[in-house]
Amino acid sequence: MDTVDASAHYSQTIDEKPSLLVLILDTNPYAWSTLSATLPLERALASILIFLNAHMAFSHANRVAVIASHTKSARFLYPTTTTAAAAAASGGSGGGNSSNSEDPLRDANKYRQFRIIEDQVQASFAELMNQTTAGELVDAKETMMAGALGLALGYVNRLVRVDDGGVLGGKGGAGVGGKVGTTAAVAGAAGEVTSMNARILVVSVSGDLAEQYVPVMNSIFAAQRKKIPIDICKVAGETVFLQQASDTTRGIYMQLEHPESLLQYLMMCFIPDTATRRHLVPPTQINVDFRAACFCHKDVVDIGLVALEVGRGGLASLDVPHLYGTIPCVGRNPRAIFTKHGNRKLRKKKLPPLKTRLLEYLARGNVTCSILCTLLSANAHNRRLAGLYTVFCTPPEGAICTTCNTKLDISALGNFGGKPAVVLTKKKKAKKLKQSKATSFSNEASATSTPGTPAS
Amino acid sequence: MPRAVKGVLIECDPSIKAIILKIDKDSGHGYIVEDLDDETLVVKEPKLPELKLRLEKILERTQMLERDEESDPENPG
Amino acid sequence: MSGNIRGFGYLESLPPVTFRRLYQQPATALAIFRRMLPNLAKTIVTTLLYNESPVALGDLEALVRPESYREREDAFSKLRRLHIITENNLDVSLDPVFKKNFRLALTGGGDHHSFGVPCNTEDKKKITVQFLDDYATRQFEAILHYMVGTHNEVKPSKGVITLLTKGGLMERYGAGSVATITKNGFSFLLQDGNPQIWALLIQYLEMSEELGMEQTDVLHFLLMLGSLELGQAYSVNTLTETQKLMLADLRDYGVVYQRKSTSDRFYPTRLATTLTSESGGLRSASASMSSAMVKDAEEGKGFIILETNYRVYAYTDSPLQIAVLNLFVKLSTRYPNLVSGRISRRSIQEAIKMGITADQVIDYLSAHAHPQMRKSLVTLPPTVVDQIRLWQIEGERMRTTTGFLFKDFHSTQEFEEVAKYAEELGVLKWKKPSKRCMFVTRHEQIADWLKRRASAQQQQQQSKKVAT
Repeated sequence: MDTVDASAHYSQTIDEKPSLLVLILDTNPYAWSTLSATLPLERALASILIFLNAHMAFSHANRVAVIASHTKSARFLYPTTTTAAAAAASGGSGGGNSSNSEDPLRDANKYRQFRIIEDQVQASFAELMNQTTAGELVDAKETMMAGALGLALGYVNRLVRVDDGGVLGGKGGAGVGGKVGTTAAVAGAAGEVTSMNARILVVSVSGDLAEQYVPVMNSIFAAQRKKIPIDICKVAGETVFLQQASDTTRGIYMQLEHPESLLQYLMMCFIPDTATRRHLVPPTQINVDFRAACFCHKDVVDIGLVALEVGRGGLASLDVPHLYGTIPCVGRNPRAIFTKHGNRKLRKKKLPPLKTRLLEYLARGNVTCSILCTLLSANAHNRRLAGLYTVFCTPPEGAICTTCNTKLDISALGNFGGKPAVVLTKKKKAKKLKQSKATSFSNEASATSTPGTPAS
Repeated sequence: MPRAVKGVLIECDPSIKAIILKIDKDSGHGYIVEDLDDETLVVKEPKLPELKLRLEKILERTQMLERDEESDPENPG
Repeated sequence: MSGNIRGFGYLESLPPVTFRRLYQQPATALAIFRRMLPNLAKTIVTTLLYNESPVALGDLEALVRPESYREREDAFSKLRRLHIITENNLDVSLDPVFKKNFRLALTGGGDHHSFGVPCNTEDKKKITVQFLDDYATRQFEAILHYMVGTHNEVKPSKGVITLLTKGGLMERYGAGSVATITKNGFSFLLQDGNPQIWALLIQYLEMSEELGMEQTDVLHFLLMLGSLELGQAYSVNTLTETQKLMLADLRDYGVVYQRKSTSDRFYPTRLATTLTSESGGLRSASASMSSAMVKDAEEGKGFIILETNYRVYAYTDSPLQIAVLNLFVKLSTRYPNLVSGRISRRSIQEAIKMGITADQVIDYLSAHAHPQMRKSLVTLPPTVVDQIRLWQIEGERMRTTTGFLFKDFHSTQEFEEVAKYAEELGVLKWKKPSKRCMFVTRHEQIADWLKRRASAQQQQQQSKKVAT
């Protein structure tokens, strides 16, 4: 009785959910002036506006937001409530008290939604440029990407509501777009039913962001959690971390070979929303640069020292793979810490303790840290943030971790391929159990792995 | 080039098909477009409602359909 | 087909000339793009939009993953049928008229005024959005009440009744008698808001020829309505004669508001501005409109609770909704704000006798499900849903599918190829290789494919001839 098969009920999907696009535009004047030969800023802005209109054309319920990532600040270009923008929006609205005679005709020739967005973006942008003093531009070769990403994520969070019964909708949005009757929304893998597909698109022209490594990575993980893809349209400049952004969040990364064809790239690769992308072959590139930046000097490092902090309580509940998904330390020579034998032996155990799983996973994850210090601290900074890690280029002063002030054991430093040293803080009785497990584990491992420093 | 004929595909038990064939014969072959096999045939689209009606009538006559009253303990009848 | 209400699909059957005329207005191009294409097709359009030279079909097809074959074919076939793409020897480009005007729509500019000219003089009597919503509700509900036969103060106008009878939603036995609702009418009632409006408008479009109205003008206006702003008055001066005539009729449906037919301005209601949005954006008109259309349709709520023991509780006091529920639910108790009843074999089979299908019942229940119901993974209890379908099947001793029988294949190989293609598209219903016959639900794509194949083969043969 296929026609009555119940199993189909559980796989309803809505393909055509409305989509929210947050566009972050890197407005660093230096970078744009270097580009002005091939792609002047005005043309780029015009192309972007057309692209936004196209995005809005896809569906009545689509939404858009534009954020400018300036040299030392980030701000919304649309939607915004600054005076210039508001004047632009209201001045253009026909009817009522407006006596501007050319406005009605403008409205007649341009879809009102498009016009409002364009006017506001242009007004805000002009305002932004006017407010930029020459003083600010001194030595300002960077862009406030971290701030922009933060703003973007906040906006998405506000707009995309999780279903709590009743009609879903973003602020001012229509209800769930879907076929007649199929208003049961699909549950995302995270178990959340959302009203819109959200994504972030970064149009970037500036270079490296080593100083902003930490906040940018945090934003990336937040986006990954919320299933918000971050697309990067690299018009010019070299950026290491943005590649990771798109890779981690499963967005699209494109380095434009012909910046003058910006519009075509936008209209072809960056326009499909998350649902449609399932059907398309992704145009991304492959070799993601996974380097990290050290926390002490903000230098980009291939190989660094990682101090990992692991929360104490609830070992079984910690999601180990997720924990290690957050360590982007893959460099040139990935090497497993454990040999094959070691791994196999570990896997035979039913539920290895967290540390074991941790180290095993690291091995699989190709961590090339020369040393790994595992801190089991009774007062974990935050047990939920079990993925807290710190990267050092050189051992910190006095071997005190700068993030959590715990003493690190650096005696085993410099041993490539060596077993990670496990440091236990003494005090608590429960620790003894772990200690014994740790020792038993390290004993096993030592039997088969390369000779290294045994655990203390 | 192969031909395409518009119609309605009917899939049913052989017994039902036999009844349909009988209906068709009795009314002068106005229904069936093509007889495909023991359980399938194609009939003319506009004739479908009529066919269904006739089929139902015949079935009502020849079958005892149970129409049990829903036993609703709280609300009889 | 008999239970099918003509919806948007009708537009797809219009001749190419009509489309070319339609695409001359940017607003129409935008509306068709927005409402009639799946997202994949829209992506293809934007890819081609700023491309100056034609693109090879193979390249375009390569953009789509092989697994999504069906979506790809669906997208391409829609683009072809709406005459948005033109193909020349496997090179694809956008129809020039569409291209030019869609670009205009995106960039703005031009002199076409196709987005409606707003009035820049103030109206003597202020019209609020609330007023427009109330007006639309009154008018549209009047139509629905009339169809169901419940008492209502406002009666729809003669024009509306003609439309209903001509559209097969109601019928009159003998002149002068009261019109009664038909099977199609029931299906119509159970539909969601947006398809309902469109069903009426498409019927209107079909009748427009007889009434001496220019069909493209009518379409232009309808599609333009979708891009208007709620609460804004628009000038009548730029409309064509046909469109001015339309205003009177559209008033009756609650789509626009005009104080008098000599007014120089009109106001689109929410029914108009949501014409080109998705169906979910506008709750069914038979829901209490005031709640469904408040603000941005955000607060429209469902009101039906369906339990696993087949009991139904509906939090409503609208006679219209109760009448609709009564079609397939055995209602037993009525409270001031709630009616309750059960779905039973008898009630469903009676509904089926009236021409309502199980799917329609299920869609209706699903569309108006109470927010509480939505909290679970599946809105309606699968047991009940399946049982409704089973009850429908009980009455059906045979399975029917409308479609097309393909026969007279030249060879088994040809048969197999076509069968394979049909299967991949998902339209193949039945085949018998021994008789070289197959039955498919839709033939247009296969016919297109066969033609292209035949011409490709011909070309191959010709080139062979030339070579030898």
